[in-house]
Amino acid sequence: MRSIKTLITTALAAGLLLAGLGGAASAASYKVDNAHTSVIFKASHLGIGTFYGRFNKVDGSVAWDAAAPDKSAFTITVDADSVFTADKKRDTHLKSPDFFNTKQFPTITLKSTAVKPGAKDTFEVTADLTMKGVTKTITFTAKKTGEGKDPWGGERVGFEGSFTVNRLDYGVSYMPEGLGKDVTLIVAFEAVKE
Amino acid sequence: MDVVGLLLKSAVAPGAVALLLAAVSRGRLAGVGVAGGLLTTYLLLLGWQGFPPVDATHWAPWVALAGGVLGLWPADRAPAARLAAVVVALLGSAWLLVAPLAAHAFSAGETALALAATALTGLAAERATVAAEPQAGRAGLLALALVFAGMAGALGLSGTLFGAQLAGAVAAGLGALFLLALTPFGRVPLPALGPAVGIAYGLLVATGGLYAELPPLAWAVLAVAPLAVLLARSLGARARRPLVGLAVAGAVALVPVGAAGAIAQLASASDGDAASATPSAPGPDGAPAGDEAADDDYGYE
Repeated sequence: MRSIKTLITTALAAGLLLAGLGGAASAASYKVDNAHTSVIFKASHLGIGTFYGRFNKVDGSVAWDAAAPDKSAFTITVDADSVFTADKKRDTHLKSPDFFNTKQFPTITLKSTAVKPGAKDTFEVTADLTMKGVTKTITFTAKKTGEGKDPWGGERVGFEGSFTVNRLDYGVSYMPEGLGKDVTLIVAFEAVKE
Repeated sequence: MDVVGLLLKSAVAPGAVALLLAAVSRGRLAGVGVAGGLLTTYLLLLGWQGFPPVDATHWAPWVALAGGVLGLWPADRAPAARLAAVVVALLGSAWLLVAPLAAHAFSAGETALALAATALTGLAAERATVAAEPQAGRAGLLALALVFAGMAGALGLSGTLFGAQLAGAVAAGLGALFLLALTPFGRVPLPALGPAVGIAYGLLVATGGLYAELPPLAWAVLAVAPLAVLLARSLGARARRPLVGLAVAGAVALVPVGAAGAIAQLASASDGDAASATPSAPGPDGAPAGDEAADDDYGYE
Protein backbone atom coordinates (compact mmCIF):
# COMPACT_ATOMS: atom_id res chain seq x y z
CA MET A 1 0.00 0.00 0.00
CA ARG A 2 2.81 2.33 0.97
CA SER A 3 4.75 1.53 -2.16
CA ILE A 4 1.72 2.22 -4.36
CA LYS A 5 1.29 5.61 -2.64
CA THR A 6 4.97 6.39 -3.21
CA LEU A 7 4.67 5.36 -6.85
CA ILE A 8 1.63 7.61 -7.41
CA THR A 9 3.36 10.55 -5.69
CA THR A 10 6.49 10.05 -7.78
CA ALA A 11 4.47 9.78 -10.98
CA LEU A 12 2.53 12.96 -10.18
CA ALA A 13 5.73 14.83 -9.34
CA ALA A 14 7.35 13.65 -12.54
CA GLY A 15 4.28 14.62 -14.51
CA LEU A 16 4.24 18.10 -13.02
CA LEU A 17 7.96 18.51 -13.64
CA LEU A 18 7.60 17.42 -17.24
CA ALA A 19 4.61 19.72 -17.72
CA GLY A 20 6.61 22.58 -16.29
CA LEU A 21 9.58 21.89 -18.53
CA GLY A 22 7.31 21.55 -21.52
CA GLY A 23 5.77 24.94 -20.77
CA ALA A 24 9.18 26.60 -20.51
CA ALA A 25 10.41 25.03 -23.71
CA SER A 26 7.37 26.03 -25.75
CA ALA A 27 7.92 29.77 -26.17
CA ALA A 28 5.27 31.44 -28.31
CA SER A 29 6.19 32.53 -31.83
CA TYR A 30 5.93 36.16 -32.79
CA LYS A 31 6.56 37.90 -36.10
CA VAL A 32 8.28 41.28 -36.17
CA ASP A 33 5.92 44.07 -37.26
CA ASN A 34 7.91 46.24 -39.68
CA ALA A 35 5.50 49.17 -39.35
CA HIS A 36 6.21 49.43 -35.64
CA THR A 37 9.88 48.60 -35.70
CA SER A 38 12.79 51.01 -35.85
CA VAL A 39 16.42 50.26 -36.54
CA ILE A 40 18.24 53.55 -36.17
CA PHE A 41 21.95 54.26 -36.34
CA LYS A 42 24.08 57.25 -35.57
CA ALA A 43 27.66 58.04 -36.50
CA SER A 44 30.04 60.93 -36.22
CA HIS A 45 30.69 63.01 -39.36
CA LEU A 46 34.21 64.46 -39.69
CA GLY A 47 34.44 64.35 -35.91
CA ILE A 48 32.25 67.44 -35.91
CA GLY A 49 28.61 66.46 -35.90
CA THR A 50 26.43 63.40 -35.49
CA PHE A 51 24.07 62.21 -38.17
CA TYR A 52 21.30 59.66 -37.88
CA GLY A 53 19.92 57.17 -40.33
CA ARG A 54 17.55 54.24 -40.29
CA PHE A 55 16.65 51.09 -42.16
CA ASN A 56 13.10 51.18 -43.49
CA LYS A 57 12.58 47.43 -44.00
CA VAL A 58 13.01 45.06 -41.08
CA ASP A 59 11.79 41.51 -40.70
CA GLY A 60 12.26 38.90 -38.02
CA SER A 61 10.86 36.45 -35.55
CA VAL A 62 10.70 36.20 -31.80
CA ALA A 63 10.22 33.18 -29.57
CA TRP A 64 8.99 34.76 -26.36
CA ASP A 65 8.34 32.94 -23.12
CA ALA A 66 7.19 35.30 -20.39
CA ALA A 67 7.45 32.58 -17.75
CA ALA A 68 10.99 31.67 -18.66
CA PRO A 69 12.57 34.60 -20.54
CA ASP A 70 15.91 32.84 -20.71
CA LYS A 71 14.27 30.39 -23.11
CA SER A 72 13.39 33.26 -25.43
CA ALA A 73 15.17 34.07 -28.67
CA PHE A 74 14.90 36.45 -31.59
CA THR A 75 16.21 37.02 -35.08
CA ILE A 76 16.06 40.44 -36.71
CA THR A 77 16.76 40.72 -40.45
CA VAL A 78 17.41 44.17 -41.84
CA ASP A 79 17.16 44.93 -45.57
CA ALA A 80 20.44 46.80 -46.02
CA ASP A 81 19.17 48.35 -49.26
CA SER A 82 16.46 50.17 -47.27
CA VAL A 83 19.01 52.45 -45.58
CA PHE A 84 17.60 55.95 -45.36
CA THR A 85 19.31 59.15 -44.24
CA ALA A 86 17.02 61.67 -45.97
CA ASP A 87 19.63 62.33 -48.67
CA LYS A 88 19.44 60.18 -51.81
CA LYS A 89 23.06 60.66 -52.82
CA ARG A 90 24.29 59.70 -49.38
CA ASP A 91 21.94 56.71 -49.35
CA THR A 92 23.31 55.60 -52.73
CA HIS A 93 26.83 55.97 -51.38
CA LEU A 94 26.01 53.99 -48.24
CA LYS A 95 24.58 51.18 -50.41
CA SER A 96 27.68 51.11 -52.64
CA PRO A 97 30.77 48.92 -52.13
CA ASP A 98 32.29 51.82 -50.19
CA PHE A 99 30.09 50.95 -47.22
CA PHE A 100 27.37 48.25 -47.05
CA ASN A 101 27.78 46.79 -50.57
CA THR A 102 24.10 45.86 -50.55
CA LYS A 103 24.28 44.04 -53.89
CA GLN A 104 26.54 41.39 -52.38
CA PHE A 105 25.31 41.65 -48.79
CA PRO A 106 21.58 42.41 -49.00
CA THR A 107 20.82 41.78 -45.32
CA ILE A 108 22.15 42.56 -41.88
CA THR A 109 21.10 40.10 -39.19
CA LEU A 110 21.00 40.16 -35.42
CA LYS A 111 20.39 36.72 -33.93
CA SER A 112 20.26 36.15 -30.19
CA THR A 113 22.23 33.28 -28.73
CA ALA A 114 21.41 33.88 -25.06
CA VAL A 115 18.86 35.96 -23.17
CA LYS A 116 19.57 36.45 -19.47
CA PRO A 117 16.87 38.10 -17.35
CA GLY A 118 18.01 41.12 -15.34
CA ALA A 119 16.22 43.68 -13.21
CA LYS A 120 12.62 44.58 -13.98
CA ASP A 121 11.90 43.78 -17.66
CA THR A 122 15.52 44.09 -18.70
CA PHE A 123 17.64 41.37 -20.27
CA GLU A 124 21.28 40.89 -21.00
CA VAL A 125 21.27 39.70 -24.58
CA THR A 126 24.13 37.96 -26.30
CA ALA A 127 23.69 37.98 -30.06
CA ASP A 128 25.49 37.38 -33.33
CA LEU A 129 25.55 40.47 -35.50
CA THR A 130 26.28 39.70 -39.16
CA MET A 131 27.13 42.56 -41.48
CA LYS A 132 29.00 42.39 -44.82
CA GLY A 133 29.60 38.70 -44.31
CA VAL A 134 31.31 39.16 -40.95
CA THR A 135 29.70 37.72 -37.82
CA LYS A 136 30.69 38.93 -34.37
CA THR A 137 29.18 38.29 -30.98
CA ILE A 138 27.90 41.32 -29.12
CA THR A 139 26.28 41.78 -25.73
CA PHE A 140 23.80 44.50 -24.87
CA THR A 141 20.96 45.31 -22.54
CA ALA A 142 17.44 45.08 -23.92
CA LYS A 143 14.25 46.18 -22.26
CA LYS A 144 10.80 44.75 -22.71
CA THR A 145 8.85 47.89 -23.54
CA GLY A 146 5.44 46.30 -23.27
CA GLU A 147 3.24 43.29 -23.81
CA GLY A 148 -0.48 42.89 -24.33
CA LYS A 149 -3.40 42.75 -26.73
CA ASP A 150 -3.87 45.19 -29.58
CA PRO A 151 -7.31 46.56 -30.57
CA TRP A 152 -7.64 43.87 -33.24
CA GLY A 153 -7.24 40.98 -30.85
CA GLY A 154 -3.61 40.21 -31.64
CA GLU A 155 -1.04 39.68 -28.93
CA ARG A 156 2.03 41.87 -29.10
CA VAL A 157 5.31 42.22 -27.31
CA GLY A 158 7.88 44.98 -27.71
CA PHE A 159 11.58 45.27 -26.97
CA GLU A 160 14.25 47.89 -27.34
CA GLY A 161 18.00 47.69 -27.11
CA SER A 162 21.01 49.76 -28.03
CA PHE A 163 24.62 48.92 -28.69
CA THR A 164 27.72 50.38 -30.29
CA VAL A 165 29.93 48.56 -32.77
CA ASN A 166 33.18 49.41 -34.50
CA ARG A 167 32.20 49.35 -38.19
CA LEU A 168 35.79 48.51 -39.16
CA ASP A 169 35.34 45.13 -37.43
CA TYR A 170 32.68 44.34 -40.03
CA GLY A 171 34.65 45.40 -43.08
CA VAL A 172 32.76 48.70 -43.39
CA SER A 173 36.14 50.34 -43.47
CA TYR A 174 36.06 53.19 -45.94
CA MET A 175 36.64 56.80 -44.88
CA PRO A 176 37.49 56.22 -41.23
CA GLU A 177 38.64 59.84 -41.05
CA GLY A 178 35.35 61.14 -42.42
CA LEU A 179 32.80 58.88 -40.84
CA GLY A 180 33.23 57.72 -37.25
CA LYS A 181 34.33 54.16 -36.59
CA ASP A 182 31.91 53.73 -33.71
CA VAL A 183 28.33 53.36 -34.85
CA THR A 184 25.52 53.19 -32.32
CA LEU A 185 22.43 51.22 -33.24
CA ILE A 186 19.04 51.38 -31.60
CA VAL A 187 16.81 48.41 -32.30
CA ALA A 188 13.22 48.81 -31.16
CA PHE A 189 10.76 46.24 -32.38
CA GLU A 190 7.22 45.15 -31.86
CA ALA A 191 6.20 41.59 -32.69
CA VAL A 192 2.78 40.02 -33.20
CA LYS A 193 1.93 36.54 -31.94
CA GLU A 194 1.44 34.06 -34.75
CA MET B 1 39.02 66.11 -44.55
CA ASP B 2 42.75 65.48 -44.90
CA VAL B 3 43.21 66.15 -48.63
CA VAL B 4 46.99 65.80 -48.46
CA GLY B 5 46.62 62.42 -46.77
CA LEU B 6 44.18 61.27 -49.46
CA LEU B 7 46.57 62.36 -52.21
CA LEU B 8 49.44 60.56 -50.53
CA LYS B 9 47.44 57.36 -50.28
CA SER B 10 45.82 57.32 -53.71
CA ALA B 11 48.34 59.12 -55.92
CA VAL B 12 51.82 59.55 -54.43
CA ALA B 13 52.17 56.09 -52.88
CA PRO B 14 51.03 54.06 -55.93
CA GLY B 15 53.09 56.26 -58.21
CA ALA B 16 56.19 55.74 -56.07
CA VAL B 17 55.72 51.95 -55.95
CA ALA B 18 55.25 51.72 -59.73
CA LEU B 19 58.20 54.01 -60.40
CA LEU B 20 60.52 52.18 -58.04
CA LEU B 21 59.78 48.68 -59.31
CA ALA B 22 59.91 49.72 -62.97
CA ALA B 23 63.14 51.65 -62.47
CA VAL B 24 65.04 48.89 -60.69
CA SER B 25 63.91 46.25 -63.20
CA ARG B 26 64.44 48.32 -66.37
CA GLY B 27 60.71 48.21 -66.97
CA ARG B 28 60.35 44.46 -66.65
CA LEU B 29 58.37 44.75 -63.42
CA ALA B 30 56.24 47.63 -64.69
CA GLY B 31 53.03 45.60 -64.44
CA VAL B 32 53.90 44.34 -60.96
CA GLY B 33 54.71 47.91 -60.01
CA VAL B 34 51.39 49.35 -61.17
CA ALA B 35 49.46 46.50 -59.51
CA GLY B 36 51.62 46.84 -56.40
CA GLY B 37 50.77 50.53 -56.31
CA LEU B 38 47.08 49.66 -56.57
CA LEU B 39 47.41 47.18 -53.70
CA THR B 40 49.29 49.76 -51.65
CA THR B 41 46.46 52.27 -52.06
CA TYR B 42 43.87 49.61 -51.21
CA LEU B 43 45.71 48.73 -47.99
CA LEU B 44 46.32 52.36 -47.05
CA LEU B 45 42.65 53.20 -47.54
CA LEU B 46 41.08 50.23 -45.80
CA GLY B 47 43.81 48.56 -43.77
CA TRP B 48 44.29 44.81 -43.80
CA GLN B 49 40.96 43.20 -44.69
CA GLY B 50 42.08 39.59 -44.64
CA PHE B 51 42.67 37.22 -47.52
CA PRO B 52 40.81 36.01 -49.47
CA PRO B 53 38.59 39.08 -49.50
CA VAL B 54 35.04 38.66 -48.21
CA ASP B 55 33.86 41.61 -50.28
CA ALA B 56 34.00 40.68 -53.97
CA THR B 57 34.84 44.25 -54.94
CA HIS B 58 38.13 43.93 -53.03
CA TRP B 59 39.57 41.35 -55.43
CA ALA B 60 40.83 43.85 -58.02
CA PRO B 61 44.19 44.74 -56.37
CA TRP B 62 45.05 41.09 -55.72
CA VAL B 63 44.22 39.73 -59.16
CA ALA B 64 45.87 42.73 -60.80
CA LEU B 65 49.03 41.71 -58.96
CA ALA B 66 48.70 38.23 -60.45
CA GLY B 67 48.28 39.99 -63.80
CA GLY B 68 51.51 41.85 -63.13
CA VAL B 69 53.30 38.52 -62.73
CA LEU B 70 51.68 37.29 -65.96
CA GLY B 71 53.09 40.40 -67.61
CA LEU B 72 56.58 38.97 -67.13
CA TRP B 73 55.74 36.61 -69.99
CA PRO B 74 57.27 38.35 -73.04
CA ALA B 75 54.62 39.28 -75.58
CA ASP B 76 56.65 37.87 -78.48
CA ARG B 77 57.15 34.45 -76.89
CA ALA B 78 54.30 32.09 -77.81
CA PRO B 79 51.85 35.00 -78.24
CA ALA B 80 48.81 32.77 -78.77
CA ALA B 81 49.47 30.89 -75.53
CA ARG B 82 50.08 34.18 -73.74
CA LEU B 83 46.78 35.57 -75.02
CA ALA B 84 45.00 32.39 -73.91
CA ALA B 85 46.52 32.77 -70.43
CA VAL B 86 45.40 36.40 -70.31
CA VAL B 87 41.84 35.43 -71.31
CA VAL B 88 41.75 32.72 -68.62
CA ALA B 89 43.03 35.23 -66.05
CA LEU B 90 40.42 37.78 -67.11
CA LEU B 91 37.59 35.24 -66.93
CA GLY B 92 38.80 33.98 -63.56
CA SER B 93 39.00 37.52 -62.21
CA ALA B 94 35.55 38.30 -63.59
CA TRP B 95 34.16 35.23 -61.85
CA LEU B 96 35.56 36.37 -58.49
CA LEU B 97 33.63 39.62 -58.90
CA VAL B 98 30.42 38.16 -60.31
CA ALA B 99 30.14 34.97 -58.20
CA PRO B 100 28.26 36.51 -55.22
CA LEU B 101 25.67 38.01 -57.55
CA ALA B 102 25.36 34.72 -59.43
CA ALA B 103 24.65 33.04 -56.09
CA HIS B 104 21.63 35.11 -55.09
CA ALA B 105 20.72 37.80 -57.59
CA PHE B 106 21.50 36.85 -61.18
CA SER B 107 19.99 34.30 -63.56
CA ALA B 108 22.37 32.10 -65.57
CA GLY B 109 21.98 34.43 -68.55
CA GLU B 110 22.70 37.53 -66.50
CA THR B 111 25.73 35.84 -64.97
CA ALA B 112 27.08 34.92 -68.40
CA LEU B 113 26.49 38.46 -69.65
CA ALA B 114 28.22 40.01 -66.62
CA LEU B 115 31.19 37.65 -67.00
CA ALA B 116 31.52 38.34 -70.71
CA ALA B 117 31.18 42.11 -70.28
CA THR B 118 33.78 42.20 -67.48
CA ALA B 119 36.27 40.01 -69.32
CA LEU B 120 35.83 41.83 -72.64
CA THR B 121 36.27 45.22 -70.97
CA GLY B 122 39.52 43.97 -69.50
CA LEU B 123 40.60 42.35 -72.75
CA ALA B 124 40.12 45.62 -74.64
CA ALA B 125 42.44 47.35 -72.20
CA GLU B 126 45.00 44.55 -72.32
CA ARG B 127 45.02 44.35 -76.13
CA ALA B 128 45.25 48.13 -76.50
CA THR B 129 48.19 48.21 -74.09
CA VAL B 130 50.06 45.44 -75.87
CA ALA B 131 49.31 46.82 -79.34
CA ALA B 132 50.49 50.32 -78.43
CA GLU B 133 54.06 48.98 -78.31
CA PRO B 134 56.63 49.66 -79.61
CA GLN B 135 56.22 52.90 -81.55
CA ALA B 136 54.78 55.14 -78.92
CA GLY B 137 55.54 53.97 -75.42
CA ARG B 138 55.30 57.46 -73.96
CA ALA B 139 52.11 58.44 -75.75
CA GLY B 140 50.62 55.03 -74.92
CA LEU B 141 51.43 55.42 -71.24
CA LEU B 142 50.01 58.92 -71.12
CA ALA B 143 46.84 57.83 -72.93
CA LEU B 144 46.41 54.83 -70.62
CA ALA B 145 46.91 56.96 -67.51
CA LEU B 146 44.28 59.41 -68.75
CA VAL B 147 41.84 56.60 -69.58
CA PHE B 148 42.15 55.36 -65.98
CA ALA B 149 41.84 58.89 -64.64
CA GLY B 150 38.67 59.43 -66.69
CA MET B 151 37.31 56.08 -65.54
CA ALA B 152 37.99 57.16 -61.95
CA GLY B 153 35.81 60.20 -62.54
CA ALA B 154 32.99 58.09 -63.98
CA LEU B 155 33.15 55.73 -61.00
CA GLY B 156 33.11 58.62 -58.56
CA LEU B 157 29.98 59.97 -60.23
CA SER B 158 28.42 56.51 -60.01
CA GLY B 159 28.51 56.36 -56.25
CA THR B 160 31.77 54.60 -55.44
CA LEU B 161 34.50 56.97 -54.33
CA PHE B 162 36.56 53.99 -53.21
CA GLY B 163 36.45 52.54 -56.74
CA ALA B 164 37.39 55.97 -58.06
CA GLN B 165 40.39 56.13 -55.75
CA LEU B 166 41.55 52.68 -56.86
CA ALA B 167 41.25 53.70 -60.52
CA GLY B 168 43.10 56.90 -59.62
CA ALA B 169 45.87 54.80 -58.06
CA VAL B 170 46.36 52.92 -61.35
CA ALA B 171 46.33 56.24 -63.22
CA ALA B 172 48.99 57.55 -60.82
CA GLY B 173 51.12 54.44 -61.36
CA LEU B 174 50.86 54.77 -65.12
CA GLY B 175 51.55 58.51 -64.84
CA ALA B 176 54.71 57.79 -62.89
CA LEU B 177 55.81 55.33 -65.56
CA PHE B 178 55.11 57.99 -68.19
CA LEU B 179 57.45 60.36 -66.33
CA LEU B 180 60.03 57.58 -66.14
CA ALA B 181 59.68 57.00 -69.88
CA LEU B 182 60.47 60.68 -70.50
CA THR B 183 63.95 60.15 -69.10
CA PRO B 184 66.66 58.77 -71.40
CA PHE B 185 67.15 55.61 -69.33
CA GLY B 186 63.54 54.90 -68.54
CA ARG B 187 62.19 52.38 -71.00
CA VAL B 188 58.79 50.97 -70.06
CA PRO B 189 57.65 48.02 -72.19
CA LEU B 190 53.87 48.30 -72.51
CA PRO B 191 53.22 44.55 -72.95
CA ALA B 192 54.55 43.99 -69.43
CA LEU B 193 51.71 46.20 -68.24
CA GLY B 194 49.01 44.56 -70.34
CA PRO B 195 47.60 41.83 -68.05
CA ALA B 196 47.71 43.95 -64.86
CA VAL B 197 46.14 46.94 -66.62
CA GLY B 198 43.52 44.74 -68.32
CA ILE B 199 42.45 42.97 -65.13
CA ALA B 200 42.36 46.18 -63.09
CA TYR B 201 40.42 48.00 -65.80
CA GLY B 202 37.87 45.23 -66.33
CA LEU B 203 37.21 44.68 -62.64
CA LEU B 204 37.01 48.34 -61.68
CA VAL B 205 34.60 49.23 -64.50
CA ALA B 206 32.51 46.15 -63.68
CA THR B 207 32.50 47.09 -59.99
CA GLY B 208 30.87 50.36 -60.99
CA GLY B 209 28.38 48.63 -63.29
CA LEU B 210 27.48 45.68 -61.09
CA TYR B 211 27.83 47.01 -57.55
CA ALA B 212 27.41 50.78 -57.92
CA GLU B 213 25.29 52.94 -60.22
CA LEU B 214 27.44 53.16 -63.38
CA PRO B 215 24.87 53.26 -66.23
CA PRO B 216 25.13 50.43 -68.82
CA LEU B 217 25.78 52.96 -71.58
CA ALA B 218 28.70 54.43 -69.64
CA TRP B 219 30.06 50.89 -69.14
CA ALA B 220 29.77 50.27 -72.90
CA VAL B 221 31.69 53.47 -73.65
CA LEU B 222 34.34 52.63 -71.05
CA ALA B 223 34.65 49.14 -72.56
CA VAL B 224 35.82 50.60 -75.87
CA ALA B 225 37.67 53.58 -74.35
CA PRO B 226 41.07 51.77 -74.16
CA LEU B 227 40.96 51.40 -77.95
CA ALA B 228 41.40 55.17 -78.04
CA VAL B 229 44.95 54.46 -76.87
CA LEU B 230 45.64 52.99 -80.32
CA LEU B 231 44.12 55.99 -82.06
CA ALA B 232 46.01 58.30 -79.72
CA ARG B 233 49.22 56.53 -80.62
CA SER B 234 48.70 56.81 -84.34
CA LEU B 235 47.50 60.44 -84.28
CA GLY B 236 50.19 61.43 -81.78
CA ALA B 237 52.87 59.82 -83.92
CA ARG B 238 51.93 62.07 -86.87
CA ALA B 239 52.75 65.27 -84.99
CA ARG B 240 56.09 66.84 -85.85
CA ARG B 241 56.89 67.92 -82.31
CA PRO B 242 56.93 65.24 -79.58
CA LEU B 243 55.16 67.52 -77.12
CA VAL B 244 52.33 68.17 -79.59
CA GLY B 245 52.15 64.44 -80.23
CA LEU B 246 51.71 63.77 -76.53
CA ALA B 247 49.09 66.49 -76.21
CA VAL B 248 47.14 65.06 -79.15
CA ALA B 249 47.40 61.54 -77.73
CA GLY B 250 46.19 62.74 -74.33
CA ALA B 251 43.30 64.67 -75.79
CA VAL B 252 42.17 61.73 -77.92
CA ALA B 253 42.32 59.38 -74.94
CA LEU B 254 40.15 61.68 -72.90
CA VAL B 255 37.27 61.78 -75.41
CA PRO B 256 35.59 58.43 -74.67
CA VAL B 257 36.18 58.49 -70.90
CA GLY B 258 34.92 62.07 -70.86
CA ALA B 259 31.77 60.86 -72.62
CA ALA B 260 31.38 58.05 -70.06
CA GLY B 261 31.78 60.57 -67.25
CA ALA B 262 29.16 62.82 -68.82
CA ILE B 263 26.72 59.89 -69.06
CA ALA B 264 27.34 59.01 -65.41
CA GLN B 265 26.89 62.66 -64.43
CA LEU B 266 23.59 62.92 -66.34
CA ALA B 267 22.30 59.75 -64.67
CA SER B 268 23.35 61.02 -61.26
CA ALA B 269 21.77 64.43 -61.89
CA SER B 270 18.49 62.88 -63.07
CA ASP B 271 18.36 60.96 -59.77
CA GLY B 272 18.76 64.27 -57.98
CA ASP B 273 15.97 65.80 -60.08
CA ALA B 274 13.66 62.95 -59.19
CA ALA B 275 14.50 63.47 -55.55
CA SER B 276 13.67 67.14 -55.67
CA ALA B 277 10.60 66.85 -57.91
CA THR B 278 8.30 67.44 -54.96
CA PRO B 279 8.40 71.13 -54.03
CA SER B 280 9.96 71.78 -50.68
CA ALA B 281 8.40 74.13 -48.18
CA PRO B 282 9.87 77.62 -48.59
CA GLY B 283 12.41 78.84 -46.07
CA PRO B 284 11.95 81.94 -43.90
CA ASP B 285 13.23 84.20 -46.67
CA GLY B 286 10.91 82.68 -49.27
CA ALA B 287 13.65 80.61 -50.90
CA PRO B 288 13.01 76.88 -51.36
CA ALA B 289 14.20 74.90 -48.39
CA GLY B 290 16.41 71.84 -48.48
CA ASP B 291 19.17 70.85 -50.86
CA GLU B 292 18.92 69.04 -54.17
CA ALA B 293 19.77 65.63 -52.78
CA ALA B 294 17.21 65.74 -50.01
CA ASP B 295 14.73 62.90 -50.30
CA ASP B 296 11.31 64.52 -50.35
CA ASP B 297 9.68 61.11 -50.52
CA TYR B 298 11.08 60.32 -47.08
CA GLY B 299 12.35 56.98 -48.28
CA TYR B 300 9.03 55.81 -49.76
CA GLU B 301 9.19 54.50 -53.30
